[in-house]
Amino acid sequence: MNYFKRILITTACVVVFIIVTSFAAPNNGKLTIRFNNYAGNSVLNLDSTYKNQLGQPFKVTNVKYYISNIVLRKYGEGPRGVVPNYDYVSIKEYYLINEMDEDSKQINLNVPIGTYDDMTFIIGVDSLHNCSGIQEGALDPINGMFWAWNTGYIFLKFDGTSPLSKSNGRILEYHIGGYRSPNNCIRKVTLRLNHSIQINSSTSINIKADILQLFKSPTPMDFSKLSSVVDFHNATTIADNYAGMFSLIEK
Amino acid sequence: MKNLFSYQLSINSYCLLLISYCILSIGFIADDYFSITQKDVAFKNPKGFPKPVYDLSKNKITPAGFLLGRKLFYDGILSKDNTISCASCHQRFAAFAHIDHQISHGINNLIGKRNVPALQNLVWNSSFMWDGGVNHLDLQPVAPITNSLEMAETLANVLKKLRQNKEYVLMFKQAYNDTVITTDKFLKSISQFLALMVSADSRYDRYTNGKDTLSKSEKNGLKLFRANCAACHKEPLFTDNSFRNNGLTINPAFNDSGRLMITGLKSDYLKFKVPSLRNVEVTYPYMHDGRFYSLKQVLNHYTKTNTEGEIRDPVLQKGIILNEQEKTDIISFLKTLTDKTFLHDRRFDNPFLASYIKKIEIKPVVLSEDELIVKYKTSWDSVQLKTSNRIPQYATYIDELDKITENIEKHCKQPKTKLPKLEKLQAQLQNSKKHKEAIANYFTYGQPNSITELTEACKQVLSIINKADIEITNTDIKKPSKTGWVVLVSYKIKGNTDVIKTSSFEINYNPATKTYTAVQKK
Repeated sequence: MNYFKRILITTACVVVFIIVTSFAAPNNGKLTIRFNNYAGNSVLNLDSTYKNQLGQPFKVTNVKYYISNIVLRKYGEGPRGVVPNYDYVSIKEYYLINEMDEDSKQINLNVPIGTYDDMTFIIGVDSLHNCSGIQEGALDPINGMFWAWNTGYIFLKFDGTSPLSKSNGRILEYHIGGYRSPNNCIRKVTLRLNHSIQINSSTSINIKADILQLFKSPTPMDFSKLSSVVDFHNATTIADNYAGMFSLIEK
Repeated sequence: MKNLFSYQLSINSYCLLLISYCILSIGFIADDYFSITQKDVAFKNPKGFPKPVYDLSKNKITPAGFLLGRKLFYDGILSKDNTISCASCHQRFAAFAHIDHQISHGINNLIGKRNVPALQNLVWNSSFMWDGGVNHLDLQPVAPITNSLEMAETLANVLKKLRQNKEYVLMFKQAYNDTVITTDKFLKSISQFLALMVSADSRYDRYTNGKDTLSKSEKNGLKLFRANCAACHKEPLFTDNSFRNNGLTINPAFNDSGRLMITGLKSDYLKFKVPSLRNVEVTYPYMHDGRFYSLKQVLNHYTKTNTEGEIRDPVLQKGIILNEQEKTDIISFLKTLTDKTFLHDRRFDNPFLASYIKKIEIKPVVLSEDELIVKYKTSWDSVQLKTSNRIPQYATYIDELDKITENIEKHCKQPKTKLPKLEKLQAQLQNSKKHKEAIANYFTYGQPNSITELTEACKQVLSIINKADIEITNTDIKKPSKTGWVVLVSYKIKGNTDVIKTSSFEINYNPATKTYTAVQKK
């Protein structure tokens, strides 16, 4: 008797599982998020000379930054934005976007099909992952985006040159990181998707990262006064600037 | 006398020997000296210790992982030019501090800006470095490896070198059953080695567990310690892992603002980590910049009434009051924190010595007493090449001699070997020509066991000459002479505080009686 009961329960479980998975499986679609580095209105070119807000010329050697905690949100019924979002997809992965590595700029995700109203992510690495010992993948300290003497990740690394720089070799180096108050450089970006994105079997979102914004607002950078930021000094100033660096490229 | 270098020798546990006429000596190295078994890597939380901060369940210690970590710790491959290993600065016999070195040394003879801290009980640390900049044991080694003044290497290049080294590839495979060498495996292996560095068997520990007794002075020292020092140096780890400004003036040469550089908080200016006092006897010099060479100097600092430091920790605001006897008692208590079990633990010994020791394995031969010294010196010099380019203290040499005679006695306790009494043997060794030569050599370069001992000798002579109690305000070692040291002291007569006089002394040390003699120089 007991034996039959068990068989019955097991069979029921298997059937339910098959039904659930057969419904869930086709619900996922491919989403590609591409980060495109720009300088103003043109695509960033490492050979070009650009000018900052104060008209000071500079060249970019390389730019790298972490993107993490990506969340796609759907708003609920009612006026948009008024009612708290009732559904979201959270991506627990860390991405290191490297100007010199094309592959790094494209993030491929599998997300449930649906209509999403906005997207948020953080520039940098959340405090938990700054305190959890050795990490692998994008967060492997071997990637050089890591401070050994003051444990933590460098969220954004800008290296360049400017004739106005007072540093050796006329270099510009802005290595921004720090997860502790009052020098917390984690910045959250929210991109409102103007027309809701319908993710179906294959969808792309193109994001523009304007490097000029690093030196633009709210605080314009004067290369002759500040050409190197490699610890907490002045770090939040640049973090406040890079918070406004990202926007959506509308098709 | 401090047993500083003696363990290096004892490990060799080699030879035996001889006596005046001719006898046999039996070469001997325990085969399992460098081997590590499952039992060796079992982590036991010592009685009374809190739960470790480091999560050992995420990095299970295995014999193969520990062996790998130990090899990495002792291997210069971690540095840019393959010369500097972790052990270059973290010396086993000094509880992994850098004995007698004020500031850390790195690649190309570059000098850092802080004193090398001891490595012990690391799994209970919530942060690392004097400023607490590193927040996880696994990530700690990255700091010295990549520091341009220390090992000046990149993580990527270390991994590259390891991947090209067949021996390491094999060791990683043994430890992780995988030949791919990653940052994660590399650093966790070192953590496995570091995690077992537990010091919990000092005389103090045995006393608190009812297994040993303390002298009257030591007990009084403990009482005074608990009343005056334990607020920060909390038992049983002898640190509360906090950061404090203990009133030291900033050294303009380093301009080190301490924890401020980590947190960016003005309130953290000149704050440094409270270090553990375990094994403090062998971890001199003291403080974050190694400015004090003796424990007495440290206590004198804390009992100073008017500090020049700009900010001072609240618990130190009202000052600590101790008389000379009380200071002496506290120091004798602090010396009970020396953990010989830890300092002599064979598991932490340099595995690169294994091949060397094999080479000098001695077959039964006839040795003269001169040869004993020669063999002994040879071994020592070789060990020195691996640890420090400084010639060790004379006092240490004497201690090592004690050690070797003990070894002789131990190993010769075989039925067929007839040995003279140990004292007799020792006397013979000390009277031998080679021994005297060795003394002369080491004396030339040697250093006093401690400034305190030299100061004390001057004080005795001065109080006899002046027929009054003397207070020494400053001791300056001018130079080592052929048989001792020339020392310049500033002193004042007690009760007559205004007049400071100076006097120069020639101090000699008698190794046989282990006493100092001081002669005032005109």
